[in-house]
Amino acid sequence: MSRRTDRSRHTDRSRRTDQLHLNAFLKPPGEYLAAWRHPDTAADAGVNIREVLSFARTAEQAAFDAVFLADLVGVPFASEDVLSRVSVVNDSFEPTTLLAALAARTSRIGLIATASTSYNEPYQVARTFASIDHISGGRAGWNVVTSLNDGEAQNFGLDAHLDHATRYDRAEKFYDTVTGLWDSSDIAPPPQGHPVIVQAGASEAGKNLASRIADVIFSGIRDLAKAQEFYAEIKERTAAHGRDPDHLKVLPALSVITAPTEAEARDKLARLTELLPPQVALADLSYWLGGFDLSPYPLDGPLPELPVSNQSHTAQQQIYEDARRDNLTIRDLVRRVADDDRTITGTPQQIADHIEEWFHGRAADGFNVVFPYLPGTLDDFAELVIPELRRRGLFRTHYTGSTLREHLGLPGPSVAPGHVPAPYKEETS
Amino acid sequence: MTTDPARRLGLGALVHGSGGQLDFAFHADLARTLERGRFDALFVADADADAVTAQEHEHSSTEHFSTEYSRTEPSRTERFEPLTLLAALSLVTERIGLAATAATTYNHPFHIARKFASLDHISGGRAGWNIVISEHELLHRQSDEFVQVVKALWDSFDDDAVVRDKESGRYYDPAGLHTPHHRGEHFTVRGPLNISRPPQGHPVIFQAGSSETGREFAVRHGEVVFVEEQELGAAQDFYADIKARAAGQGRDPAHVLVWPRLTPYGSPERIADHIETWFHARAADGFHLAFLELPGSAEEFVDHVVPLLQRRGLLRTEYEGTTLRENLGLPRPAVRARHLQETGR
Repeated sequence: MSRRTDRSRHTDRSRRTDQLHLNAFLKPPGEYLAAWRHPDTAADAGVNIREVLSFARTAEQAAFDAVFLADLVGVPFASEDVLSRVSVVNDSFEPTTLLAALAARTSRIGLIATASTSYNEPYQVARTFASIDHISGGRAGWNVVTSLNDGEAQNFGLDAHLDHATRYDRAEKFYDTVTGLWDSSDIAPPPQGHPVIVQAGASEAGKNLASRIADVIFSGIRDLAKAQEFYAEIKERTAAHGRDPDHLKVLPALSVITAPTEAEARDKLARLTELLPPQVALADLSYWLGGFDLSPYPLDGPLPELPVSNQSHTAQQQIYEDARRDNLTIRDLVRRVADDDRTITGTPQQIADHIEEWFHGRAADGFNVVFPYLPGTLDDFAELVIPELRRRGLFRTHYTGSTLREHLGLPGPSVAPGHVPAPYKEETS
Repeated sequence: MTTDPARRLGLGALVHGSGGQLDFAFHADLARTLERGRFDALFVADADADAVTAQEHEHSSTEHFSTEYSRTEPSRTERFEPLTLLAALSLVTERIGLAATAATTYNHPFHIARKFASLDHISGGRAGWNIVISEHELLHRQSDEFVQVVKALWDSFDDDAVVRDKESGRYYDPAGLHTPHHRGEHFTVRGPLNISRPPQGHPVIFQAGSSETGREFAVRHGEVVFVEEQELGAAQDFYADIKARAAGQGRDPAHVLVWPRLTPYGSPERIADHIETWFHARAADGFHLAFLELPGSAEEFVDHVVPLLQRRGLLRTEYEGTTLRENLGLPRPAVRARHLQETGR
């Protein structure tokens, strides 16, 4: 790689000397909508604690920084037929309850759960994550989201979904209240001082919030150049807030299917994607476009101009860009969803090459690794990709710290060793 | 004394009442001790709920409830969040019931329904909800609506609706889904709940009913009713009253259990005698225990009182079932489908 003189060290192309951070994004039985139908998954994994615990332990044995749990506080709108064919949105544990259970039976891996600022109360969130931090000996993290769909709003008596700006205003105040409670003398200080703060929004408001408060920022960007742009921008914004930019880790999502050969990996993908009914793929596309019904439009026609989504601005934008750039019909877009085009399919070396390019190219400080189906794709990643990353000196061989802040290389409070209770030592496995 | 062989003694233990202990290992050991002692359930109190109750006592004479609530009360947050602690405890125990106090005042019904359903799934059917309400909410029928919404959410899916048929691709049978579409005086909650029916149908409901309206509420919704009476005669009166009210509401009195509070002190024989007397005198179906000192008093009780109760044929030597309901001898509620008008979905 050629050296260049740059204005900012964040576009420096010299090789990094630090190591990757990897989260295991668990959405049992898998991110792919038809994962529950796969012969090698437990269809009930969304509510099967033994299954989820085994995933967490696999991730812990591989020394992932953390497991990460998403959330939806309600079922998105779609037809009865479509909804009855998917698992995760209908039948999943509440994530903080699950996280607390995982805390009792893991000892090192970080534990990050999503909790929305739109439908919760700050006091409840503060107590819950402080409790998880205590139970786990300092491994808790809170993913601050402002929620996505009308289905959620209607469970809380909100007829009109809060608009984008209002949601972020509320999120800012909510965060300040929560951290105020963690800092107050009335609450027993969590071992980490503050549980790790994660944030995911890529809109203007999202980037503002993340650079002010977050320890970790997720993103859904899949293009290297765009990711490098985002990385540099976020680091600069963080510095502008008077923070050390190294203390905000940028972790893009990375969905992986791997096998010893390319052919085997493609075969795994095919065996998964053949399980997705077309109407579910169409509904998924609809959802990411903001929940707009696409059925009036011809499948072989272009994507129509739709109102700006009140859900994920960025996902909607990305789909429009792809469509315009590549002249895609609705059918093409549905096929991409069905073929799981977000997933990188390849050999361990190819996956590691991709990771290395992004890491040293300063597009990422690590990744939020997404697993299309579980446990298969997690086992494959742990058995095949992680050793390759270690061979290249990119990832830890074992934990050196005991808190999530330590795994992520973040500053924490100076807590005397005696004050951090050791995680509960289980007697039986 | 008439004995009813079908009656079985229930035991519950309040943990975290002594406050200030944010040590999970301490709680895990305590839970395992109680499980060794064959307790039906342990209860984790909630600081919010205690504050509601405290304010109730303050204002009960005027029946005026103040909604002013200070968030800076000292030592109020020196406690685990109850459901969080119980979720963790569910993975270090196997049979003991896990009940959390949650006040309707500071929670939303959707969150309550979802979190307790999750705890029930995680624990294999051992969750319980100790409902704390305010007099104010009771008078305005808000508490009834709250519980109605929660139950409707727990009944979103028929027990056999979630078929998970890999072959056909059908995760659940749409005919078995009952979206609540609740629009009431106090709450608008569409639903459905985004988790399948809890293993127990509904987590077991505990309730403390003191005032007149409180007793009616307890009998409407409670499956185990707590009472504070410390004198045998008064306790028997309360017991008889609860059972009669239950029958009056069309419920089987045997399925509304009465548990007085007990702080065990004195010799093991003395404690066992007290329990036996009250149980046979129909002043109690069981007791909720508040130990003077933890873990010491709990360990003594398990080591010395429990064997006496077992020897006297009062207390189980092994758990009867895998769920809290089975151990309490309570029936499992069927889905009461509320077929409201469903426009689309």
